[in-house]
Amino acid sequence: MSNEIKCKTCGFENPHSSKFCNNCGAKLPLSTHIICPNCETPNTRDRIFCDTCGTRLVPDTSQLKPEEPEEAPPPPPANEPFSLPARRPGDTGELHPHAVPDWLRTGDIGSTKDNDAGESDDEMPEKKGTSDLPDWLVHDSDPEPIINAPTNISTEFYQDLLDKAEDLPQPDDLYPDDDATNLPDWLSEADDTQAGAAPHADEQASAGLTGWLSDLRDEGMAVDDTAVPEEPEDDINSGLTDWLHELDDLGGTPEDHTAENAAALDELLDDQQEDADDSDWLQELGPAQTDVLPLQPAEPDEEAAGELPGWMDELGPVQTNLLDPSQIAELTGPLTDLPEDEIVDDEEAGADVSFTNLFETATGSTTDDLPDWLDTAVEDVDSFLEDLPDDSAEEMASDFVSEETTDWLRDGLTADDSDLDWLSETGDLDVAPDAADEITPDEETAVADFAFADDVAEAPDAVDDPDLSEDLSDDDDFSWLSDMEAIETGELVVEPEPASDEWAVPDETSHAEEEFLEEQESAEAIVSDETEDDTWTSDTFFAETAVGADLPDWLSQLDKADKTDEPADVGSTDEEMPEWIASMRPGQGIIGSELPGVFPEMDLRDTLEGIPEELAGAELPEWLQDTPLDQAPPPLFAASDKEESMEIPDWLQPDSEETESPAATPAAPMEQPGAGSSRDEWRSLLEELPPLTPLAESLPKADIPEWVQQLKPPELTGEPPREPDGPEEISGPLKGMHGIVSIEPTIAKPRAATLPMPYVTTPEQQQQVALLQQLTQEMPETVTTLSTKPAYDTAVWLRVVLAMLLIAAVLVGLRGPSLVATDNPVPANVQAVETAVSAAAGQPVLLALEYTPAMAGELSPQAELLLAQLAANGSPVFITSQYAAGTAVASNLTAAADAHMIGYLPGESIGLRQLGDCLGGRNECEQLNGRLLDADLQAGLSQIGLVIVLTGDRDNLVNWIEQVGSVSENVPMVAGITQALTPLANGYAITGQLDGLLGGMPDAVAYQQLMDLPESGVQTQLNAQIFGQLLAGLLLLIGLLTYGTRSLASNRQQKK
Amino acid sequence: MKLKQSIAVFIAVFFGLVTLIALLFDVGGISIVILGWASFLAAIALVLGVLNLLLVHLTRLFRERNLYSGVLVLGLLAVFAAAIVDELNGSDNVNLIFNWVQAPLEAALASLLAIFLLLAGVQLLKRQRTRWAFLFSLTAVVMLLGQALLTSRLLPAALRQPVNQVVDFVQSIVVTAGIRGLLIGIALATLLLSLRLLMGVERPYNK
Repeated sequence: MSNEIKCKTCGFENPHSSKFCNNCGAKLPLSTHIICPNCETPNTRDRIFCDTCGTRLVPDTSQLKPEEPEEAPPPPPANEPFSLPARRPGDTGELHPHAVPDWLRTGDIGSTKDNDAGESDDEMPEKKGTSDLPDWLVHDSDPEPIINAPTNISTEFYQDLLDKAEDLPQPDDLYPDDDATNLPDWLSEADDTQAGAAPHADEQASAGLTGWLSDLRDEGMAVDDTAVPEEPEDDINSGLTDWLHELDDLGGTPEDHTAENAAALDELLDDQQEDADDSDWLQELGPAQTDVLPLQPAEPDEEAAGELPGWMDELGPVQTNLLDPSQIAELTGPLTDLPEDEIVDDEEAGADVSFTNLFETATGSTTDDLPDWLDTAVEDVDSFLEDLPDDSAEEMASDFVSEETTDWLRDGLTADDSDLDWLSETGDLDVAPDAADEITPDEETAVADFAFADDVAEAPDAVDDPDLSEDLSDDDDFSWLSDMEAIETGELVVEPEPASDEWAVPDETSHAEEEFLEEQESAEAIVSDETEDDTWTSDTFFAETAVGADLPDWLSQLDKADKTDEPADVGSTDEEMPEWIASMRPGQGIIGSELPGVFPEMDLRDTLEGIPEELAGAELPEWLQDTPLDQAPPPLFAASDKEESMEIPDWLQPDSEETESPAATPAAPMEQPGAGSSRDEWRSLLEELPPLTPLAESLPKADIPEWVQQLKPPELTGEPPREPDGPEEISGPLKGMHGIVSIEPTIAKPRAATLPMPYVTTPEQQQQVALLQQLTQEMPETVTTLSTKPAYDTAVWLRVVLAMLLIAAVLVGLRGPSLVATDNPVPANVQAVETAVSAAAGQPVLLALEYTPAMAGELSPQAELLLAQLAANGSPVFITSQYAAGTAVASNLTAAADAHMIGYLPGESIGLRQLGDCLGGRNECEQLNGRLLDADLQAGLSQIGLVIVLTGDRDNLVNWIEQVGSVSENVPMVAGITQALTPLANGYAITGQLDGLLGGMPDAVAYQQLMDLPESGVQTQLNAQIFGQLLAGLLLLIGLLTYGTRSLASNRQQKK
Repeated sequence: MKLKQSIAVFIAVFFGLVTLIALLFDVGGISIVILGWASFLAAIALVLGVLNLLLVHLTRLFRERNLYSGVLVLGLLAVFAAAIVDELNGSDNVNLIFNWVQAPLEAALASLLAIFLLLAGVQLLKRQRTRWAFLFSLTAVVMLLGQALLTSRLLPAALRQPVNQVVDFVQSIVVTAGIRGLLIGIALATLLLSLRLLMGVERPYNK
């Protein structure tokens, strides 16, 4: 198996471990292998264990992090780990503020983490340590938030917001043709439905508002136009966050807002009753009516129950609670204890009219006139009531018609303490900053709840983020976000689970809350008995709702917990989910028990800081949009705790047992429900702990290594002390110690001086020294005697004298008497030349003039004699030369002769070889060395009878003899050479390779005399040569004798 | 060995062997063709040599301001121009330049050679007092004087025969022996070099 993977795109061979092509970046197929760390066998990537040895190929991360999803990437190393506040299931009571991270308590991620780490802000990146959190949980620490909330919230602040809103892209600007495009679908549908049914004049102004809030506002405006007159700023407000818009619209006193809310709700419900066709849009208004409808159970009439919208049917347990007469009785009970001044205020605001009219209208109407969703609600209530025990039904009925209820309704306290109260509380934001100083405990709770709204308002950022939206949609952990939307749109019905017992009440819990708890205790006693018997509450709803199968895990787990375990044991469900997720559940977040010290301590004005403008749109997740408005009722811990408990779904309601705890421990009125049991639990746990024992006793004794044992001091081992090695120090800081290595320098100790060894010189060294001294003394004399000047002068004059003597000798020979001997015998080589030339008479003769003008003085006389002989014999001459200058010499010599110029013959031995092949009829040479030969030349070369070579160069002569003479053996060859070359040529002449030889001027004179040729100056030239040679010989002899005798004399002197 | 060198060696060895075989077995056609190619290449080499010589001396003329190079370039261009003119007009300007410039200069240089040889011979024993130097100088004196005396009438007839025998002995035996020794050495060296060329051991064409 090859260890490389070839890319399908470019064919590049990549290493086996590559996922992408190293050349083109294309993704490689899955056949990429994983090399086994044990046996190095390449396994395919889908293998977990090695095919060969079974070694695990993929690290077992499940054992290390069982809760971590498999696909979750490892956290970047740069991020520091952190943990969200988590509490054990069953833990109750107030969470210590220090248990909450600073970043979560203050909302400032970067700075708090930095402070915790003890590092500066510059060193820590922003959002450090929160990378594993969803963005919506991470507080936006944008250094430049779009909305900078002032310290004191005032109308000017909101006016500034309005001004800023004008500069921001409005939904109408983005979608001018479709105002509802920017809204969630369910809101758009609601808006359209209502718009078709009851169009308003200020519809355009409220186009940017969240539909249901706009409707509420519009209806309220219709009811009481005088209370909230229409303002021209509505057009500007269209771009604001809906709830901010509401805050702005509801500006005024809390009483005014309360009255407006009540009127709006009243009008809303009236419209629903009057126009049954428009009820559909209300059915889709989930959370908005959640706040309102809990008050509806106050109407004991079945018809009134039938008026409940269909979406309340989908709420299941909530609806059950709402329609439970006992709960209604409990709800209205504490309201009677409210102070009279509040009642009076509410009455002044006209809030009592709203709910009174609401239920009175519902009572007075018939079932036939009811809308569909109310009919459904009536049927459900009927079935529910039928399932109830008789005594309970009676009790419930009695509660429904109790005086407290009627009083509560009559007094209109519900309007003040209803869910819309939080709107009135938020309306205080518009009040002057002084109003914030007058915040009552109730309002503080509202502020705390609103702080949660600030936090959850971060969620749209995450939702708006496409990537994160995908993550949210894909991740089951966040699927409950989408499911919450489905709940509000009516597509999904989720039964609220029983309230967890871990809800925590802030320190600021007022006495009213305590009373609420006490009263709720009694109410829950009834409700719990009934709900335990109501099997349909959760199971039925989940079973009936197909969408329930798509519930998020944590909701499913809650459901399972309800089915299997005790329904009220919420702790079991919390154990199955991460605590931080459980802490962020909307219901719990509203209650705020999981994060005490965060919301109560935070000012409402702080919550507005950092809210980006884009969150002002309607793209907020519905549950987040509605949560602060609908599910953060200030009266939860304010006016009527008992009533608030009624509004809390069952699954959020504290256990009846734990709710009894506060009442059972009057000594600690502020203690949280269930705190006593928790304390007992902790106490029992502490008691179970083993008694504290010293650490040294509990730890087993380890074996001390041998080398450590050897280092054990002798005092501990009991062995006798060893004798110290070395002398003992008697002074200094190391006094008393033995074996100290002295590092004292030698010079520090006075010692007796010892003479060094005498240097003894050998006789040879003494002689060398003497010689060196002698040389150094004689050197100056030697240097002065050396001089090159006399030698230079001698050479110059000698050269000049010799040159002058030679020139004089030549001149004397040319012009002087002739010393040439005429009676000398003719040499044999000269006679052989004459024989060869004579034999070649009439035949073409090839004459090679292989010399330059430098040798022309010695060879040209020979050439002239031979040419004269050839001319006399009638032999045509073909002249060639391997010297470029030879052709020029030939032209001067053959001016009067019958000569044919072959010209320059290149190639040295090769050229001569080719020429030799053409001689003597061996081959028909049409060309010679690339040169085309005419017919005369071809015929002449083929008929060559003699080759005459005139040269003064040894190589040239050798080439002719060896290359041409060896090929054309039948063609005779004679040579005319210089006298210096004669010894060389004699050897070829002796062997017969040369048929004749003319060596120098003496042979030329001899040839002339032999042939009786006319004088051509050959003898004159020979005479000059004789003079020159004699002079040269004499000078050499003189020099030989002179320098020879001097050298002999010097040698004798040296020998002496 | 690189590929480029291998190709050159292959060509040299191949044609060397072919030529050798043609000479040994007297296959004239092959050797003529190969020699024709060699002559053609030699002609091209001559042209390239002339151009290279011109370029080198032009470079030395303009970069190093070498006047001798300038003279060489001028002489080359002058003879080239004269040859062209001779071809066009049928004149003999090239021979004129040769006879009046090149021939006297070469003859003068040859004469200077005689002077320098004489000076070297005279001072030979001054610089190197060895027996071989003495013998060399003595031989030179004998040959010069012997050649001059034998061809002149200065030497009496009675002494001419013994002198002629001495000179002939030196030339025919001593000098010829020396020259034969040189030729045999040259022949052996040529044979060895030829074998090295044929075997590709010696690669002068790669230098």
